[in-house]
Amino acid sequence: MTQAVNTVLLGRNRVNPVARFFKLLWKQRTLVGLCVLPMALLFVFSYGPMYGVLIAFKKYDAGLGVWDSRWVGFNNLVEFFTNVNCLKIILQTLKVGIFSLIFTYPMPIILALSLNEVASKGFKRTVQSISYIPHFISIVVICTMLNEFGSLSGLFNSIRKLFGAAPVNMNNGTKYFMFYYIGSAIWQGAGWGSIIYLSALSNVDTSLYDVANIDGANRFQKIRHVALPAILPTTTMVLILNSGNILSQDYTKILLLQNNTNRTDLDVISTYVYTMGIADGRFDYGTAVNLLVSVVSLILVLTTNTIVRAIDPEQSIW
Amino acid sequence: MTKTTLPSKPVKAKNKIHIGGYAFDTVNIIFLTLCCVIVLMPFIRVIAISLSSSRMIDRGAVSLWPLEFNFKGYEIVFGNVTIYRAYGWTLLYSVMFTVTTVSMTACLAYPLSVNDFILKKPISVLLLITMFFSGGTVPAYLLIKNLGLMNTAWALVLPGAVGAWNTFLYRSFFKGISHEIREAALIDGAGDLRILIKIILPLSKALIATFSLFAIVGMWNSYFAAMLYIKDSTRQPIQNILRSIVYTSVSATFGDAGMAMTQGTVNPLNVQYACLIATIAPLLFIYPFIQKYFESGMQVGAVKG
Amino acid sequence: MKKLLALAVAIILALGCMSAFAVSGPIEGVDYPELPDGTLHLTVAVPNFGTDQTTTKMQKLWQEKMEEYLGVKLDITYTSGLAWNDYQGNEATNLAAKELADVNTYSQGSLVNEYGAAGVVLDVNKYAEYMKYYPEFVAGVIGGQEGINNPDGSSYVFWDGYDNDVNLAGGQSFSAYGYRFDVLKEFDLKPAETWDEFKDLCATLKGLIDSGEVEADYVLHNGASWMAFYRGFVGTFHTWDTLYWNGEEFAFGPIEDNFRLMLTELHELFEAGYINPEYQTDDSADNEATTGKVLIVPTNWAGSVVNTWNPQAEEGIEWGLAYLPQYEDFGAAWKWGSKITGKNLGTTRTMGIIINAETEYPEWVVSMIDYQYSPDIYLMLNWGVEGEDWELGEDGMRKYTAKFMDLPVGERPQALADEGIMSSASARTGIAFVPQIFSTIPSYGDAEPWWSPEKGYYEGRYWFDTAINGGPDSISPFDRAPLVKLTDEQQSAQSKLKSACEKYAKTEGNKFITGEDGYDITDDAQWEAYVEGLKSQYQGFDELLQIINENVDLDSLKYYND
Repeated sequence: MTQAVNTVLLGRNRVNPVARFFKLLWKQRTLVGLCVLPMALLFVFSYGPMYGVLIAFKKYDAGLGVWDSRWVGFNNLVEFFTNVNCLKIILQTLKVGIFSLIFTYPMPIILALSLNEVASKGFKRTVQSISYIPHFISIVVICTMLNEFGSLSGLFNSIRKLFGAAPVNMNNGTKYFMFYYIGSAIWQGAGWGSIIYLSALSNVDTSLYDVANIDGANRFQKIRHVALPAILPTTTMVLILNSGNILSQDYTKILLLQNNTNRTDLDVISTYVYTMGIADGRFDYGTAVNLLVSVVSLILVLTTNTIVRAIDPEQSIW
Repeated sequence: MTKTTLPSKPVKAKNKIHIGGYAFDTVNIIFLTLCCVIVLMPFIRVIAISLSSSRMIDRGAVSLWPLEFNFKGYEIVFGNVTIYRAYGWTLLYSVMFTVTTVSMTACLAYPLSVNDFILKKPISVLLLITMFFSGGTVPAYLLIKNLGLMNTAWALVLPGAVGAWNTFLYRSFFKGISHEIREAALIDGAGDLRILIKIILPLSKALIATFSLFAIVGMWNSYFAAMLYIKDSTRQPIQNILRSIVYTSVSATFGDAGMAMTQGTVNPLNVQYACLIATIAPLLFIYPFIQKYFESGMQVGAVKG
Repeated sequence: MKKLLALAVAIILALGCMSAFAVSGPIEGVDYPELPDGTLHLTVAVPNFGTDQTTTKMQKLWQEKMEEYLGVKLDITYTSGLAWNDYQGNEATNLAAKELADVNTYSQGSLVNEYGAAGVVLDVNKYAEYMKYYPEFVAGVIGGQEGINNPDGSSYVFWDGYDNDVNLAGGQSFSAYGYRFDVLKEFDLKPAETWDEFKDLCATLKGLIDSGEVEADYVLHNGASWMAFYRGFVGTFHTWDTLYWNGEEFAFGPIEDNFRLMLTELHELFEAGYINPEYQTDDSADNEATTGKVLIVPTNWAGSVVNTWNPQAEEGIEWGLAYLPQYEDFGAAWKWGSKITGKNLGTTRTMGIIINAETEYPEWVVSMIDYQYSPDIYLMLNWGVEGEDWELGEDGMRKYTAKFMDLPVGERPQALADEGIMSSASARTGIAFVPQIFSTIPSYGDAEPWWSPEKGYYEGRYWFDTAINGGPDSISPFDRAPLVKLTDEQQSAQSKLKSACEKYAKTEGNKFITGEDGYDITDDAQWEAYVEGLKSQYQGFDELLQIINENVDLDSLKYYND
């Protein structure tokens, strides 16, 4: 249908694309009008301060401000890449980012589908409410609890004992860091993350279920053919956007999970930027590394989007 | 799987007939119950510790039930008069933020959900860029200062009102609402504004409820912006007040003269966890009112069906 | 000629104008600008240290006294009031956005210099003639005025000072081991004087634990997981955990041979099973002490004993302190953080007060801040009002009154803070930071159990007893280091080197202690690889160390006369 409209328009206005653009713009003036206020906010509050990224290529001098500080080209980035720990930090970042995506992304979807299959509204509501609670607990408290649970006399070791395993100090070294980091992310985020899918599922045309029932579909078939397609736009969107977060970890959480036995091994880019750029007050250097991360993240999102578009054009962001 | 003629016990759901239900339901319910237990245990611990005596906490004796009841943490948190005023300000900030962000995002997401909208691509790109690039704290600060928004609620409300992530999710949701609706309405002679207000938004109650919840919780939990922009200590939101209570109860180290000290006999964990409860409790209280709308989409679907 | 004449006329006119509006102020011989209604209007940004000090009794007295001294009315609006940690988090942004009050509490060390050079923050040296009391504190600093000046002769901060009026030469952290006195007394043992005795004591205690005679899990534990465990031992082995003055030159402790020797000894203790294997990861180390699961805590803040461990300890558990043991012929173990007598601004200056360069009457503001360094103000804010809050004891020393001392020890700080008395640390009255006076430190706490070879078991106070028991030789050369004249860039390079290399030493040194992952401290190749790895954390490690040593000003050592 859309395609048809376009061909018609194209055929008629082959002569002047600019005129055609304005004609369409006028035709869609209500839609354009709706965008004006939100876009104005976006321009003022997101694009307004954006000139600040310039200090990535400058030696920031507070007295001169962003505009008048001296240009240093790519010096800040060169400094980052010549840092002796650079490769180690990048590899650790990728490791944490990729594993986080793989393990944390599906959990809210599974939870939402599972909840959607519950017939008892009371039970469903209770489970939902409970599953959101961890979202509100601050990361400091969570890391304190993890430290306690992983100690020799802690909860995790009690569980290990049940299975006959010898107790280990899980806080020591780097071995259990990923378990801590990802496990707590799932614990804290799965319930909250499922809200968005549940809200999409609530919009499923129930007549589809009736059809499936008549066809004699079993539960898994119904999940696959009715529920999953219903949340597909949302899951794809979240996947595309999450793929851009591979390089950006929660630095507070990682800093809190570090201790003297593993501090040098657990640095990722975000903790590095924090210590260099914020704690040491080097705005220019921190901004430069952040800018690099942003560029790579944007490329990642664009790539994922292209892949998605190749598979199913309907689901891509644009 | 064969059709079961036995009515499964929770037969309340009108629109779904449960086929092959028992095994699936049992496993499913066990799975969810397990999830709940895992989620709840640490939380119950937090409550138990917040109510236990300092001695028992130090011993590591508290597991899921408070030992030697002690309300000192709560006395400190709620004995601080500023906390009630802070609740009020937080409520105001949250409501203002929610109304602004939900309305602005919906206005922007609807045109983006229209397939042949001519500005769809440029706007999407402009949005996407803001997800990854920002100018940093100092330019943002100067902007707020120069706009004269310092010390006002707008400093907290406006900068985050239109976000790329949310806009894209709204857009996906609007797309999920049947394609034909807009086309049919257009043919009936309805304008886009009417379609958005009369058709799309009523069908999106679940979405609006969800994102209102996100917005309220987001503003409720935020402290950083207020730390920067709200200089007037009488207008600080709840999180900032709680942070100061927690910090001072823990300990403080000062200067080269280097005197460190722990204050009083209250266990810092009492205060810290009591603060946690003080933050979460109001949110858990409003939650059921919002949750009601989560199922509304389904009813609309039923009517349509 | 005409030009000269014009200039002369201009100067005369200018002088005339100035004298017409100039008035006299607290400091004789200099002119102050006239204030419009005889009132100095100021905004002051101060954090909240736990108790809102701006409404306390002492704050009102501060203002009365200040107005009396200045001879003008003060109209102060206190802004911010953020919690201390949040306040600190905001400082860099406020500076960068030039969003300063007239007077601001400050805590970011040398960060201010670039903003001072940029004209955001007032160079207080330019108003030196409006000061009278602050210079007395400056004189105590090593190098005097030169010691606090930037290379270009400026100084943008009124640094936080202290008055060591009771000659506290002791230290508070890493200066005494914590022992379980109840266990030692029961089995007729005593704390160790030498390293060999210490090892024997560990063996004996381990035997007692193994035989079940003492109920505990381990002999040794760390005082807090964020402290590097070896921090408690570096003094004994005459080395240090970072860049330090070793008496002859600046050296990086963790690559010295003495440091290796220490790691070897600690590895031995670990292998013998004396050390709690969770010594570096246990976030609730205090609880191990209060519940009696460990017997010796070598790495600690000495104040833990009287402030935390003993008040919270279970029935029958008694913690006490004894000075660090000595290693063979190394001489007295070094303690950390020994203060110089008298008025001083300290050796690591990070906190103080900064003034907005755009403040309207800098002359008055400078004199106002300066007056906070007079005993009139800081004695009053540290001690309170005579008769009401403090009185002279029989020994001629000030003591807090029964109003505070009759309270349980844990409730005294808050009671002091509610009055706005500074020694509580949670109310910093005046405009933070007013100098602290050391006679208040031991005054409201209780004494703690001590042991020394001469006196046996007795009651002491760590600030004094770490000095008495260590003797004069125990003052670390680091605490009496000479002045080093470095440029801003060299200074920031130095701090970068320290933070990167310290971090490396902590993680790697730790592996040498436990011997995990095949780490072996006795293997020379491994040690050399470690030294190389540490140096690689900062490019140009050796060069920078050389620069630092070339710029040592040995003359400045004359400032230490204790």
